[in-house]
Amino acid sequence: MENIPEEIVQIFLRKGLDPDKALSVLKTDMSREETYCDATTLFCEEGIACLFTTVSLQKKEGAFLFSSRKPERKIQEWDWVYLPMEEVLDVKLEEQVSVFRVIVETKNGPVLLFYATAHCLKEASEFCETVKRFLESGEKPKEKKKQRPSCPRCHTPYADPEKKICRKCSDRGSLIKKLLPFFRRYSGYILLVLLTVLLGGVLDLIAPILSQQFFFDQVLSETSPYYGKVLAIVLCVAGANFLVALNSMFTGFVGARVSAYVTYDLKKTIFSSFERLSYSFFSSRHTGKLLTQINADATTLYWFFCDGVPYFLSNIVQIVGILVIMFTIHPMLTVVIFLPMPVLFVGYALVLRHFKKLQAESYSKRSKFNSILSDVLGGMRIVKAFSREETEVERFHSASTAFGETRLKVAVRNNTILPFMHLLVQLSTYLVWGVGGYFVIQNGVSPGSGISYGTLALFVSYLSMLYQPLNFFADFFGNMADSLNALQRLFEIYETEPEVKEAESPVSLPEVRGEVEFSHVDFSYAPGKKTIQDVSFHVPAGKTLGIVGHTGAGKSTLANLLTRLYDPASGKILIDGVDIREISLADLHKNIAIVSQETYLFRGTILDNIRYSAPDITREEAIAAAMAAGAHDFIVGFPDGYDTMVGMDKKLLSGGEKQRISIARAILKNPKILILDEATAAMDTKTERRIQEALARITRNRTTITIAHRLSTLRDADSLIVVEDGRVVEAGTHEELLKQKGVYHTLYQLQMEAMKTIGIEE
Amino acid sequence: MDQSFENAVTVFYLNPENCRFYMTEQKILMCSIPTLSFDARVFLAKAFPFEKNEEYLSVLNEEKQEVGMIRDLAVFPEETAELVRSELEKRYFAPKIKKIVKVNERFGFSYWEVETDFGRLSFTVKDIQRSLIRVSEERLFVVDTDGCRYEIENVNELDRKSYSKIQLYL
Repeated sequence: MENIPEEIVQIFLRKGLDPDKALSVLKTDMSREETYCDATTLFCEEGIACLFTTVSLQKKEGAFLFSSRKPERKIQEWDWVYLPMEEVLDVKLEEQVSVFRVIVETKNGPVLLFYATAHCLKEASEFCETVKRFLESGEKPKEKKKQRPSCPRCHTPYADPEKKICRKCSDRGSLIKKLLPFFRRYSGYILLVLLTVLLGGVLDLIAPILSQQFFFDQVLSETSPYYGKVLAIVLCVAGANFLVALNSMFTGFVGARVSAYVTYDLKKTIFSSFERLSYSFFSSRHTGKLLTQINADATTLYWFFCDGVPYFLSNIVQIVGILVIMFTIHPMLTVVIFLPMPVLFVGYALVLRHFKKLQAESYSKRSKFNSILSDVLGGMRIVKAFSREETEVERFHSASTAFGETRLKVAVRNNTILPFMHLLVQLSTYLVWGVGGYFVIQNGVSPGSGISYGTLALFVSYLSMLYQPLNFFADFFGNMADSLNALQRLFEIYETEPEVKEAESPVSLPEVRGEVEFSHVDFSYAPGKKTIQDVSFHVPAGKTLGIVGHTGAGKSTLANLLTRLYDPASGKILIDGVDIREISLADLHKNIAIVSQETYLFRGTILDNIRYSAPDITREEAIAAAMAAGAHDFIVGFPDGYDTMVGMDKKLLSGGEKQRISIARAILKNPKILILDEATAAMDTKTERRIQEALARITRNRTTITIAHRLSTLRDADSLIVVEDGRVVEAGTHEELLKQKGVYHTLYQLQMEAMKTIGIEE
Repeated sequence: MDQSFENAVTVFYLNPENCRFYMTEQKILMCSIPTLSFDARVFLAKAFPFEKNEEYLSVLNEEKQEVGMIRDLAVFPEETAELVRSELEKRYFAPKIKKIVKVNERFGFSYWEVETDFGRLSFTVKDIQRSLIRVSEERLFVVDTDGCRYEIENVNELDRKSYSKIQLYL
């Protein structure tokens, strides 16, 4: 039950309605005039009442010393509609563009109950269903209405109810926690990369001591015991550099292996998450975007695991190491390098922000440019057919110019701002040279009071080494944000619950007889719009059912429901008397094959495509299936016969040819239940006849559900149902339906006349 | 099938002479067309919602089939035009964004807080690039996760701060 504020409960009670006894309660957000306000609708056995209220904040009166000065929330009644149940005939939810309204049909005509924004659509649609069921059969809701899913911690409704990510509670920390299993998975690799990087860092730290301080102050100093041992020191330095090179080779080698493995593994993880999800997940998303997601996100995530985290740690170690060494060499000079830091940081922040904006602008222009390009290339046939080349060139030109201009802007700024930034970065070095130079001179005047030239050179070397990790951190946070977003998307897929789930202890039905029954099935793709309404039919095992109806009547949805691409909202679908939700998905799909109006051939040979449903069959069986589907003749006509590559060049096969290959594919699966969803729609009448004959042989003793709008396809069906607006309006055999002179009869007459017009007599 | 073909070739245009719009006490828009013996509830839809606000308006019956079309609302008397206009406003409801207070992006969603002609509103948008309907260089609609639309009549008329918050997506 929705939580109703006490003041609203009191108003309802004063009007003689008890919200606690209501069959359903709905909270919406608009008035009858379509202005924002709170609306509470009660559906009780005696009637439907809608109360519109406003909230005002009122200052508390009286002494304020010991009382809270927070203004009081006051709920006020603003409008009220009440419709007694004996007058109510029906409720309708009418969708507008971004709002909807609920209309109650009464004995005195329609009454507008309220408007509401689409935020309340799902709840309102459930509310209307409850009222409708009560009106039709007196059925009362068994359980009280569920609220919109919200975060259990802070009770904020989720932005997307399916994803259950709370914007307030889902912080980056909890994301990192989710990441731990991934870290464990790649811990060996991360450790290996970290070790090689750290080793490289340590060698980098040692090298300047030998090449700078030791060389200048010991080897070149007459008082030192190492004086003149130039060859030895050169060999030492070369040796150290050789070790650095060796280590970087090893780092590269490990990095390449890790990169290949981790990227592969991440793509596999994302892809297998896709495989787990229901069909509805894909039908509501853009394929191109999912494709980018697998590729781009895997690369971004690779960066995170292999280039981000290990280098982050090693750079921190390096910064600390360098600072400690510098501090040991000369604490005062170390303090000097921090003096220009504030200017540097502010400068960096400003430049970064500016470039981020420019990059985003360029990215957006590039996307636009790419989409125009793919649009034109994809539709080249149409462009040529309508002689629109010039317009398209113009469109291309303007997008290309816009993209070019932003690229130019980025390049110009790059070349003007970056040298200046470099100058800013060098500020510390100039200061060190200045202050350090003074100390060196002082040392020359009175030895021991300043620093040696070698020490200064060493200090400057370390200072230059400090810039590299600082640069890394400048980029790190931007990349880190991208990675976290990619990770979030990964978890989004990873954690999405498939809508169609296998039962916890599924019934195993390896061999079904093929009896199919739909019992009071309701289904909708979107809230408020029922695609299938109370559909019931029965097909005995081995018999054929024909489903007839206009385009968009819901015929294919019935096939989608039987194959469990979706589950019904209410009602049951039974195979051999068992609810298909109880049957294991593997058994269900083994026993049902579908040939649909959308044919899809995978990349590979024709033989591979025919064998897709049963990889172990012999060539003889494949040929037999192709013959049965009427595909053999055209296949052997191709120069490469059954080895012809398909799936890449779509032009090679016509729609009818592709369809026949997919029929062959379905036949080979040898299913007990065969669904032909407009399977012969793309073929000419002659080919259709031939396939019909073949199908008649194949479908014998197999439960077959044939969906078609061409009635000639269905004449031999054992029984027929006519579907209109998601409902079964007629049922019977061909002859029975013709006698009824209803929808089927009209359709049949129309099609017969059309056939006669084009010269085809029955 | 045949009927819709006929409709496509001969559009029945409604004018003050052949029809009458009225509102019931229960705020339901009705239309009577004597020549068609039609007097029932009607629904309105703009054929070109982005370009023509008061022209080419489709008048549909309860089965959502067109009974006629208003070529130009201006030919109707002001009282009727106002009735039709208010019904259209209800169908194409979209608060007009005057100021953008906040746009926070987080985990693929962006959380907007805006000042509109209906007061301050906050909403969530998924994938901004795909959720903006660019009607023209200046005018655009933002569509939130539930499909609610918010209009920016002229992006160039937004104050500098508001503009900078959405500049990246334009």
